[in-house]
Amino acid sequence: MLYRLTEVTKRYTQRRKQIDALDGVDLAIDEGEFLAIQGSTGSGKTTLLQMLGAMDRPSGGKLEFEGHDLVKMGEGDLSELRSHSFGFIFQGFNLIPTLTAQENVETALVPWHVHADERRRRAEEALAGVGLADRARHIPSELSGGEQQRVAIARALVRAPRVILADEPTGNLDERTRDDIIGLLEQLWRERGQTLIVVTHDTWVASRASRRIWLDRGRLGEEPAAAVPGLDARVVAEPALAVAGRL
Amino acid sequence: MFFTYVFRELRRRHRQALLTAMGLAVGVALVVAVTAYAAGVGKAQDQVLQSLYGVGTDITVSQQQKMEQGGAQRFGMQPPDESKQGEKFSRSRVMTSPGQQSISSKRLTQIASLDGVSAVTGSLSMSVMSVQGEFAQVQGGSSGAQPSASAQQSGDGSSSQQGQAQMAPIDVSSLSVSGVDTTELALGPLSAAQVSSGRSLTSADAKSKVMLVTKAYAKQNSLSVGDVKKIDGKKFTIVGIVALPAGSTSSDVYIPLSWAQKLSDNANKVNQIYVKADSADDIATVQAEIEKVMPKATVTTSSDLAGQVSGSLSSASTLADRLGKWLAIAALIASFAVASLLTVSAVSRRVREFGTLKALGWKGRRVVGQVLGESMVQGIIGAVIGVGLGILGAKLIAAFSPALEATVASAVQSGPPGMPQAADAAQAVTVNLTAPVSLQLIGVAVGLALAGALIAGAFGGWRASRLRPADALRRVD
Repeated sequence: MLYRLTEVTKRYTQRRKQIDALDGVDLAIDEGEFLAIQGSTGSGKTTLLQMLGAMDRPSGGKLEFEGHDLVKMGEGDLSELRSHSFGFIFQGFNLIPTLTAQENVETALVPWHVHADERRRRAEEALAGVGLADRARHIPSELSGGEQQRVAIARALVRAPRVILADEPTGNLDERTRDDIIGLLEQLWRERGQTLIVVTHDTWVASRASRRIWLDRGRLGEEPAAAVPGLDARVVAEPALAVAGRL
Repeated sequence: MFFTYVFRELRRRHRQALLTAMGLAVGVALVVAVTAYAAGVGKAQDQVLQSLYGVGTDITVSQQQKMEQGGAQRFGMQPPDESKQGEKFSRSRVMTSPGQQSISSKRLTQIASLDGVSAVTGSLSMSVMSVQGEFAQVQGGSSGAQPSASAQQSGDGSSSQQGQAQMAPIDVSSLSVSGVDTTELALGPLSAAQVSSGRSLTSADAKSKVMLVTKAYAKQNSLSVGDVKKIDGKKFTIVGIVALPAGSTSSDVYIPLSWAQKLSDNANKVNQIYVKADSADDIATVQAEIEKVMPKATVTTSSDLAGQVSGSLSSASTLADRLGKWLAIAALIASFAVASLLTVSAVSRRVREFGTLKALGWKGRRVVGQVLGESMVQGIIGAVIGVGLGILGAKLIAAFSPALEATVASAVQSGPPGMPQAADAAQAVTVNLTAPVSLQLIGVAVGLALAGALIAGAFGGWRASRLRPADALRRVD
């Protein structure tokens, strides 16, 4: 068992109003799983992903990673854990705009204090692995959306982390590029055996996963597709309001 | 990676970076210019004080003459008898400076034994007045006629007196002489002197008939090293020509103290004592002790004299002290605040960037280091521009500021008798204002710019580092 979440809650205070982003989530994730987290906007998907990536702490409950309770870890230990065990892919790519593709990949190795030559070599390899060897010297604004996301994937993979956490990795991409990126992630997952956790609205993307979970108002729930017969898989993943509108 | 990231980031937001650097630069430039101005004013004050007081002298001691002492000098210009009428005559008279009473040399030993006194020396200032001409032709009387009192200044510094038609011309000239202790020239009237030709006096000259002549007097009277100059009939060899600071109340010539005492018939006496204290902190104590030992003496410290400085130099000094200092401090605080605000603003715009880096495992201190690095580069640019602007400002001050005039109530030295430089007369000294920028000042300026950058960077970095990655990534750009 890689993760074990017991009664995990996350409460925010926004404009004097308390919001339960996560409300008693119980979840277990095995090593090597490709898990898709689905849910409508504001259902707590990203919050859950951030908890799993040690970017935030739960307000209550227990969140264990490899048997260690992340709630009890200090900021320094969490930084250490993030740098060694997790790779992140964001919807907006989150590349440093002033650095080249290669330098962006290298930023993931900075916490490891790797020698500059070794850092460069590994970054080149990672970029070659996502098919961007020839774009290494370009800054993000000179790359297409798909290329930028490939750079972000290379950045996430360069440290060979135990877990890859992707937050809407194809949310900003067209359909063809989406297929490319998901194909790449799936291929890497199969080749490397890393745990892949993807937050997505896209049912097709979710359908590639080995397991899917559905979040609704911070709670794990049933997939609404089962309750709406005749809807194809892609529609199922869309927010409830959009689905209702289409109906 | 660190420097690449720093320089790329600064290049990306070069306008803001330049604005931050300029903010620091303006503060630094003001500090440099104001400090240079203050240093220039201080230097001008020192120049004035040195010219009046001598370099390295902390305290001077003199004693005012009682009113009944001295009196009119008589030169015996009336012919002793009618047979001498029309004959040539030459008279000279040596007088210690009027208004100043002689002080026994024993006082020097007494003062030297006081606590906090580092060195003591004495000098004897005197005037030698020479009159030469012909005895008046007196018709029909034996009492003779007085030469006219009205004197006309001649080009060589002597006065020629035009009598009535029947009177022969009479030349009156005066020479101010200072007797100096040749063993202690670092203190006293010659301490600020610079030898322009020949040599200075040495301890070996204590009993020799040698003299130093001021550059102005030598030029006026076409004197040079090796020439012989007579004082009251004694021949003195000129061994050096010396230059004294502008406005100095210098004598025309300087001779060994023993000879000045002989010529003025003041054996073992001086009329001015120069004291150097062990440290600046001791000056007040030493002054009080001397006043106790010599209650009738006028004991003046350099700060007393500085307090008496008035005129535009004094105003400039007040301006530098009050307005300048506070202006520089205010500008510095403002520039630090501007730099901090701009840095925090830049950090706020990069919250997601820093959140991403933290998500990648960058520790808070690494993020602070990155922001600090960027800030320090801006600080260096600010320091370079600021020092440049400051030096330019200092040069402009020096180039365009009018000459400063200092008026000091002189209690130090007097000029020839009959001249307005009496013991309590005011003296005006004109000095040109400089605004020197020392390496030390440049160092301080660079340090201030870097300190400003450090404060701004630390503040901005702290803001960036305390963000949790999840909170940072949640922010919308």
